[in-house]
Amino acid sequence: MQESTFSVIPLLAVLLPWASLLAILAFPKRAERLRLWLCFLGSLATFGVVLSLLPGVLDGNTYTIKLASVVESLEMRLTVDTLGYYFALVVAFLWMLATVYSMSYIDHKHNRFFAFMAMCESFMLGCAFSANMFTYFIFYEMMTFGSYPLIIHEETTMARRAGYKYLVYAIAAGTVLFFAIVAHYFWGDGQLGFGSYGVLSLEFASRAALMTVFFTYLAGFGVKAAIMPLHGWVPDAHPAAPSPASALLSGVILKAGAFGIIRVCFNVFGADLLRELEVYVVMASLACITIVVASVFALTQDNLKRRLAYSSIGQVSYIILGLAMLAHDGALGGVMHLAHHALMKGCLFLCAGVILVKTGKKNISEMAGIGYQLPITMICFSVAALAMMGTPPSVGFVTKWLLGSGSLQAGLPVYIVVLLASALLNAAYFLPIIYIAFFRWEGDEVDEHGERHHPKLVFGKEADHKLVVPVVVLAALVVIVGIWSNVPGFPYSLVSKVVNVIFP
Amino acid sequence: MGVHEESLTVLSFSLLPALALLLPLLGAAGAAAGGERRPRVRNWSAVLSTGGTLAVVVSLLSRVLGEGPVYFELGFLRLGERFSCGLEVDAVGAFFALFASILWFAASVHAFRYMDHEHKRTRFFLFMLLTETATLGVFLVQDFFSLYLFFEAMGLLAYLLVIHSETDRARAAATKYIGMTVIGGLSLIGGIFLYLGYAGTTSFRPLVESAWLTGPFKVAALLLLIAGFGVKAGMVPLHIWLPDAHPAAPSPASALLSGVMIKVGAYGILRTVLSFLQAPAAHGAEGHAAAGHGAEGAVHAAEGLAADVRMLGLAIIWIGVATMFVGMLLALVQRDIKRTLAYSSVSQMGYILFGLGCLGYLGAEGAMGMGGGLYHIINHAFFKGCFFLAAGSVLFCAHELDMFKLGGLWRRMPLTTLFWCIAALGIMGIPLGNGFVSKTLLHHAILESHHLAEGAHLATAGWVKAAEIMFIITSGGTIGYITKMTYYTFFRRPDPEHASHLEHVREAPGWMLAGSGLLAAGVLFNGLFPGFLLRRLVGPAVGTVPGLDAHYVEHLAHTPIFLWANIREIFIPLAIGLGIFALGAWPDLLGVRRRGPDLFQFRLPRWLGVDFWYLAAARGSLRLLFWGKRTYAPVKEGVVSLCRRGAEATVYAVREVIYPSLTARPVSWVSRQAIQLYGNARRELLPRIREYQGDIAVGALVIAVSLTLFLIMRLM
Repeated sequence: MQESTFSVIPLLAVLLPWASLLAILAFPKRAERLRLWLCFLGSLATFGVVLSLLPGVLDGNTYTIKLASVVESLEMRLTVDTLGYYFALVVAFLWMLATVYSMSYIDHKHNRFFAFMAMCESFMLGCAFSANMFTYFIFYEMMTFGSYPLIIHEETTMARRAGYKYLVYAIAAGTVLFFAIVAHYFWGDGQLGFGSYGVLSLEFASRAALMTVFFTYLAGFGVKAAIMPLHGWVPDAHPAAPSPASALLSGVILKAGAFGIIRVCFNVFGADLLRELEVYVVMASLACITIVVASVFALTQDNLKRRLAYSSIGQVSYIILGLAMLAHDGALGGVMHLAHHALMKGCLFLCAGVILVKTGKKNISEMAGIGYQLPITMICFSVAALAMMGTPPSVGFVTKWLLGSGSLQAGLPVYIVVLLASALLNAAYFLPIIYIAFFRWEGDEVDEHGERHHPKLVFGKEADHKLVVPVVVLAALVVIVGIWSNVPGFPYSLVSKVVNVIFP
Repeated sequence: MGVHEESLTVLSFSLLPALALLLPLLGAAGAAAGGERRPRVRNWSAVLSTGGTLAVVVSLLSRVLGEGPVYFELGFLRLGERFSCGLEVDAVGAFFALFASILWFAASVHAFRYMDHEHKRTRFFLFMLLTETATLGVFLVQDFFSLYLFFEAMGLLAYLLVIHSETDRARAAATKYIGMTVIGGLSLIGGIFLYLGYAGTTSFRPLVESAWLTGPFKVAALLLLIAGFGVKAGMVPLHIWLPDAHPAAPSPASALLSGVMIKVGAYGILRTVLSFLQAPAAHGAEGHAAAGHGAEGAVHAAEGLAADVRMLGLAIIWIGVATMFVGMLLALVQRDIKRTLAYSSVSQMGYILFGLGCLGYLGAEGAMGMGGGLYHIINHAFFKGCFFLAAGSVLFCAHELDMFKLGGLWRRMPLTTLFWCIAALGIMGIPLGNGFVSKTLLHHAILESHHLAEGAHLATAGWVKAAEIMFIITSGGTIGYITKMTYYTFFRRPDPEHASHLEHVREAPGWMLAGSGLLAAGVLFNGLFPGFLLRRLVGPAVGTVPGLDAHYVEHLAHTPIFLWANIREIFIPLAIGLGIFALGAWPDLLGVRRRGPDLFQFRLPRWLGVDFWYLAAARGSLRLLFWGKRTYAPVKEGVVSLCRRGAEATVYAVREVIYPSLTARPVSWVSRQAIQLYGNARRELLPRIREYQGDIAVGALVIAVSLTLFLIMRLM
């Protein structure tokens, strides 16, 4: 990495979420409202600290702090580079909103939920700021175990079973990942750090060795990134977890896997080496299959959160597909989609949560006329759902456009067919929800004068503000970030800096 | 081929385009703020904002015609240097914006009272105004990237207009509409991607130096773009949503859907044809320069590309012919007034496509085709808008849209009848109506195409001639169904069983008459002063298109319309049309009982329509998906249970077989030795450890402290 300045701020960002834990430990039984607000303040402060780095990062500075070192080349170090900062910003922002939402949503065992939320945020920020694969792996594994209590929070049989499945998948993935890192260390001449153009090269190791490293990484991170056929835990974990946890799972935790793959592609292997090894073909085919098949599965689900979970599986593969294009716009679109999907799917899951809390309905077929009960929520849901289809002007459109343009740069217009098929399937499974919510209402009766009684939209009385505000904020951002993506701090401003270096 | 000198267009900055988009948004905000509690605020904000938009667009048009294209930096979706959504208006765009805003104004004036008998009025006004912004946006941009943004927004917002009444029929129509819109949108963006790949830009002006590859991708780009726009334009065989959606919407919205929104599709096809027309022109210029150096290959390449565009033109001509003919046939056999009008819209879009096809076929000499198409676009907007608003008045006053249950309305609604008849005059192409002008221009265009084909001994001359004949037959059919509808609705003595319902019918309220009257005046104006429009509006708009020969544009602007040679052409269609009308309506005309087959009630079996097959395909593919999932489920279950059984078997084997065999009865010498060794070591070492335990403790402490110190030194 280039010259970087010493700074304690990354460490501060990673440690600040633990402040919430202090509040929980200090008075676990009394003053529940105060305790929850302190938890929120912890995540707000974390977001503030992350945000404070923005001007420096936009100037191209990197900040670093060493935590510990085992041997000379195996150290734990936090570094804020543009890519990591981008991820950290997404994490801290979504976490803040999910914390607000959870204050109203979680109705039992608050302490456990908020404690593990805070810990997970800390570990996720650690992942984002990791300076090398060793550090990344440690935070990644801790995050895996930290998120288990979030998934089983409801403690129903379904939740336990989903949690068990999650653990089996995650531990197996961790083992593979550990092997990948050892192989990387062994064949990469002991360089586990992230380089702007990659650190591995064919000088130190054979083709087969590097391909082994790549595929073990892909398999290890692919479980979290839900690349088919490693996606099995996702559709079970999402409906089982409480909605804010599902939003975080889909919005951020799945992305930790995708972010790992981004790191592997950009900073460990580098575009040139990937092109030389020709592994991008495998990556692209897996991504294409996942995108289409997951969308087909989503189409057949009646449980809303399950449908959203399958949709997430497909959408995360957009990131992988963008990377596999090995072209400027493709990489740009793929990496930007990390934030875009976090906004859209975060919004959708939080909406599903509001529906669940206010009406207790889980299945789409039961949701007739729900738009009249929860107008703001369902309007936000519609905005996010339309964005998922790639309707302009939204973040989803930006992704679709850049990926399409990228596939032309890569000289493979066949990806466009996949993108269009996916958009069509997205429309096929999202539009009926909107239709059912707004246009197939119950009480569709005709009185003796032949007049139909139409329900009226009544705004402002649907749910607690703590539930509605995060939903509205996310839906607004889905559009705003789509329109003005180049505002400093928005995805384009950060990601283009990274991608312009790699694909000039 | 005439090589057009591409002048450097100087763009000037203007606030007007942004204002044109902003005003309807403000109106929408006003309408939402007024709401159901202050309906007058809501209605007036709709009328005032559309009126204001009209004024802005008129001044924008005069500015563009006077000073050339203008731009406004919107700064939306700015993705690096290459993609950004900004407004840029040329004469063609401003021309489309003009008639769109006229129609919107008329529709909101009409809706002022019309919506009284509808529900959810606020939603209607809100989305009507939002749709105006989106629709105007399509016309005020100069690249496909920005166009797509507004085009999709328009398509989705109009969904709320189609489904407005929320009856079962409206819902079914809206579902069909949204499905077609989504598929059309995807086809469009796919086409735009390919266009980007092979034009190097999304701008309507392709890069001259880009590689204009002939071959499958270029054809695919064209097909996708035309199909994407064609869905909106109601092009056969993608028209199936239109006859359902237009009648389902409230009448002012039907007027907008038929008057403007399908023209957006035609506009897109026009832009596509022009963009593909420009590429050979640009290549021609290159070839021209290269010819000086003796490179003749480039000239041949340019000729090859021109031939490609000619084939494209012929294809569009015949799509147009199919569209106009099918639309006409289906319009003949409807009972519902608005449904007839919707099929008529399909048919009239065929005329417009026909003109655009002539533009492609004639290439640089295609000014007549484009002029005819543009003139017909504005004409159709006026008369079809007028028709739908008048039909809205009929529904409002008589609560009936079945033309066979109506009749004799001319006594009770004289002004509405007058406006209707003016519109009918226009659509039938009778002199003094506006349709006469545009149909004359279109006829000239097809004749010119035929001359060109004959002159150059092209193999396609016969196809062009056949298209001309179909054009005349369709014009006859148009006269037939319009006469039928006018006669049954307004002039026939009503059936005794329905007459009692019609006794209390009174003339429509003033606001509604004003709306349809405004458009009827437009019909008359366009019909009576064709020279003004051709010289001031259509001619200059066509003239700004690069790649068109200026001589032919001049010819278009000064085409004499009211000549005997042109008027003569109307007699054949008139004879055909009145013949069809007489054939279907003779029992009612003569006042005798109907016997034998009825031409106006004729129904074809459903499986003959494309609609039936699309639905079958959609249902089939959905069923296939669910079947796939059902079939996949047991496979997945099988694999999972196999894995589980494997794991269980392993655990069982370890617990019940392997572990006991190693511990309970040591079978081998090795395990016996190992156990013996362990026992010996235990016996030998334990006393020693007890003896030296103090020393061991001290040693351990020393090691721990030094390790801690070492770690502290290593850290940081």
